[in-house]
Amino acid sequence: MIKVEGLTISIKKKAQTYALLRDVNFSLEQGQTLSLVGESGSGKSLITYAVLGMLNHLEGLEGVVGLPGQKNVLRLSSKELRRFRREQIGYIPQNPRECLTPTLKVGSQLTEVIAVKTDRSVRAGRLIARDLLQSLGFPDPEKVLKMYPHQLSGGMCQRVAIAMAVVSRPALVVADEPTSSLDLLIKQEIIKVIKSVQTEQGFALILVTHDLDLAFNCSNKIAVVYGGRLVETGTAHNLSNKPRHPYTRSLVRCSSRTGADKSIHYIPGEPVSIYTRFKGCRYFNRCLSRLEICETREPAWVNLGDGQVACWHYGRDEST
Amino acid sequence: MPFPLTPGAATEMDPDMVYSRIVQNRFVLACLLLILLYVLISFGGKFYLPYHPNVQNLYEANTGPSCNHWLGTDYLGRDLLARILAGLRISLVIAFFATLINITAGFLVGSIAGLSGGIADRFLTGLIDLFWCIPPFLVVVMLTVVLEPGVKNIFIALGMVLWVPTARIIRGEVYQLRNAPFIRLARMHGAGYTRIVFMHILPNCFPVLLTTAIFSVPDAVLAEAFLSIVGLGVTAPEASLGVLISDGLQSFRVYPWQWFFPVLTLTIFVLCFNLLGDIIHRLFRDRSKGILEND
Repeated sequence: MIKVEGLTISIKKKAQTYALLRDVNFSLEQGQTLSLVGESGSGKSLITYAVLGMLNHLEGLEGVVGLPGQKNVLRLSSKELRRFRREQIGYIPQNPRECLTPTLKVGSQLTEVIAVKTDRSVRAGRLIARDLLQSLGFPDPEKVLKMYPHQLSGGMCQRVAIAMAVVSRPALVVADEPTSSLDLLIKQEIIKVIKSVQTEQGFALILVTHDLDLAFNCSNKIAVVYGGRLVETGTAHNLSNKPRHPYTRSLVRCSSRTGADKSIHYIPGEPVSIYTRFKGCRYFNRCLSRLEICETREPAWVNLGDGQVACWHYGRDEST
Repeated sequence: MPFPLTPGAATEMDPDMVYSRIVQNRFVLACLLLILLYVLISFGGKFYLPYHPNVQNLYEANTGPSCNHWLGTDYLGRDLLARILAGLRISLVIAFFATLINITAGFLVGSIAGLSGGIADRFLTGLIDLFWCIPPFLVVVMLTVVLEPGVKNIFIALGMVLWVPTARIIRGEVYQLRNAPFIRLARMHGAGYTRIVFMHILPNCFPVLLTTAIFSVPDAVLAEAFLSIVGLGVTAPEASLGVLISDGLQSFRVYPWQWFFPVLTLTIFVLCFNLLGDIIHRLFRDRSKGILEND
């Protein structure tokens, strides 16, 4: 079980403190998928970096990220972190072509990762690499191993990156917009590949994406991020059918173009900057159903049984 | 085994590697052959030429090209061909060692600055900037004065001056690579610092380093020629291309071949290296060249 509690990141600039992330909470069972959705700059990637321990050097880092066998990733030293990354997590990058070292053959870098992660010799690693690539859908893995990354297509590079991520049978795989640089057909293939490896290995998957449809289709849970805060989490089913937070409602309205309504929707206003200071709700300026209290007081994180939400429309009795 | 890629569709790609493309390139081959020829005839000249480059024969002073002296003789009756080959030998040695010092120092300083960041980076960058401000020839002239003119001292002086631009280029390259996506991915896979530096950052500097090294050879040869022309280079009776050119200049109007042949040798040599560097640079740049007009 993956648990993130009270994750807060703040940076200091000119004696002012700015919160990049505030009070992020979510949990995820093994074998399940959580999608982080939100606008660009909302902090989706930042959450994954924190989970991977990439931000442990920051001073203003608080909270708990728990994984099986790890009490708190955020407190690991850099040596423990390397071990943790080798053994327990996998990372699938956004732009696969730029994420493979251009001067090394695919075989050398894949074998290197395998040899290090599984503590085996390079020769054994090469055999594993071949089998792994074959299981990921390369008909002729030997040939691919002898190629340089620039000779592969984006989709093929992404498969290689997936192979690198899953080779150590990690507990958690983080995919940071794995499909954003690929075309529609390959996009679906890559998602299928990731999902099929997930069914085989049973790791938890955190999927960062802009694509709401993708999130609804292939995840168990969805967390909506706005301005560095989670505004709503819930099951994919609940969020697509009865979104609670006004922001989620607008997002769903923007993404679904089914039925009679064929017009393109958008959310007016602009995303918030982290340098803006808030007393109240971060979504206040753009919210269509704002209340007076929204401007002055920040809504609490309310548990509603089948989901959590941070909005004054819900759970007011408990919090006041 | 789910969703296999269709065999042959995207996997059938240009199998040519950069390195094989470099070797297969006709210009590169021609340049390499010419350079090899230069090296062979200049170092082999000792064994098959009937004349010693420094032995004078005043009876045959200032003769033109003939069967006995293919390129003529100079004002002391020394065979010009023998002297050109001897000069070329010295120029080659100077170019080789100057480049070696240049590349080693430049690579070390540049990569340490780029990798370390922080105070060390600022200090080394400041050092590079400082050296950059000093006119290089002034440094060389001062060094040769302090160290006394001579072959060894010329390449020490040249190496000490030429490393400055190299260090800056390498530093920029390393600095850029340090934040490259594939470095970040390597870190996410739990790769340690040493592994990242030696397997992922430094090998990626190699194309730049190779090009810089190739371009620094003609620089060194020209600098040596310049120093010899102004009288700070190789001392008489030894010959270098620069000395021969400066000797030839003195009787340029009467015996133009004494000036022309050394200059021709030098020009072809420099041209070879410049072409080679240019083509190799372009081949590395075009690694994943597309088919668009300006790709």
